[in-house]
Amino acid sequence: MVEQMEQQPAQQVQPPSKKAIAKATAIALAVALVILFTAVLPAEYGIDPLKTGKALHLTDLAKATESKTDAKPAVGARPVPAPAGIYTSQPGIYKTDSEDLSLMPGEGVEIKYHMQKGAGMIYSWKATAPVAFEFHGEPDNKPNRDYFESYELNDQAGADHSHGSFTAPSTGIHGWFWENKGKKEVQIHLVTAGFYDSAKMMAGDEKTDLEIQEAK
Amino acid sequence: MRNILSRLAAAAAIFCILTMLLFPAPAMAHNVSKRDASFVESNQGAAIPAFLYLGAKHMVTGYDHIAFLVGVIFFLYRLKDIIQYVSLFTLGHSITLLGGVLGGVHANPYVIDAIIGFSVVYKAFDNMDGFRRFMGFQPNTKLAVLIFGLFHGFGLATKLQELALSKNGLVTNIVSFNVGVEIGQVLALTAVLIALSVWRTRASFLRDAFATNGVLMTVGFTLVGYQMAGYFVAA
Repeated sequence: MVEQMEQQPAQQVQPPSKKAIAKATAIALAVALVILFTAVLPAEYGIDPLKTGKALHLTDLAKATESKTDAKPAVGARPVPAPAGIYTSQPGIYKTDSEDLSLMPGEGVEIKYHMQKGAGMIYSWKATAPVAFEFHGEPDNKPNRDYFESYELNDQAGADHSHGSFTAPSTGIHGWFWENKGKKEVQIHLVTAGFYDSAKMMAGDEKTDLEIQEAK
Repeated sequence: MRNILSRLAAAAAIFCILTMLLFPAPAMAHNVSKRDASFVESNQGAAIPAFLYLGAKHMVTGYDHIAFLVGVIFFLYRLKDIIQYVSLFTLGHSITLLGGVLGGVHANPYVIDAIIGFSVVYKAFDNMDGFRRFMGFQPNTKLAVLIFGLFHGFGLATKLQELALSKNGLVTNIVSFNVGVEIGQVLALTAVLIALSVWRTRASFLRDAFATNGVLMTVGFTLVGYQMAGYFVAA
């Protein structure tokens, strides 16, 4: 019964002959191959057997796409404007800080550094077991009280380390929130070095100023 | 009846074997614009309008899906037929889009896109009456649309999976994307139908139909070659 519904008020003019169909298929395949080898492969992948890509400057496209895909942002990362140059000079000398934290199951803690826009920081933290965390920041001038920007979020499986370098996208406090979602106590060790001017720890409603070291 | 059942079973078996071949391959990024990608990656929670838009955009700008749809409705004159065939296509791609993303099925996007390119070749050959001429029978056109719809859905799923989707509001966002795809499909189909209807009033339609399907087939072959080359370059 399904077959009875086969439609197609077929081409009444002249039904195409076997020869015509075979010819059309062969032409379609040949044209496709020509397009592929002269244009698509050079432009998309830089494969250029006939050197037409070079002649038409299509291979430049392939190079451009390559560098673009390399810069794929990390999972969960919000795009941060790329720094203008290889290095960025900073106004003062850098500070260092090292913190040892201990989290009971269900506990959370935050460490935040106050940084000027464009200031840099190198950081590294390790935990004895995976913890949920969010690397985020709050600009000094924020549109509302609860406003924040997330840089790296892992609140599902969690992680037991994260190392990196960071350039503050805004003047404000930037740092981590960790939460122990496991059943055992977790130790976290954090070291940072950078152009921040103060540091704070927040646990529950408690806020403590941390002492940071001036680099010698 | 037995004949139809056995053909259905054979088609299902081929589909299963093909898909099993695809699974272990890692997903490779291509085709989603970077700005959209970073939006989806930074998005947390349900964002219905944004995903509706992304779905519709993908369909309207996805020339492979549109080329296939042009092939499918090329010789469909009655609205009832068009709705039937398009519904089958929608059913097919919705199953694999939702199932693929929710089930975490990672198909190789290059292989999937090559199959989508092949679907265009298949339909163009079908429109040229090639199957009846060369094999002496007409393969069930509805079944073909449904099966290729399943592959097109995998294609859509791989596009979404390239993006690190947040678990928050995942189902809402995928369903929104799927609805967006259907909206985009209606928009694209409307444009294609208007063009076809105008063309059909002219005598040139039947005369040029054969050549047009030849062009469609060329598009299909080009897509297959493009994606297969991508597969080997990425491997």
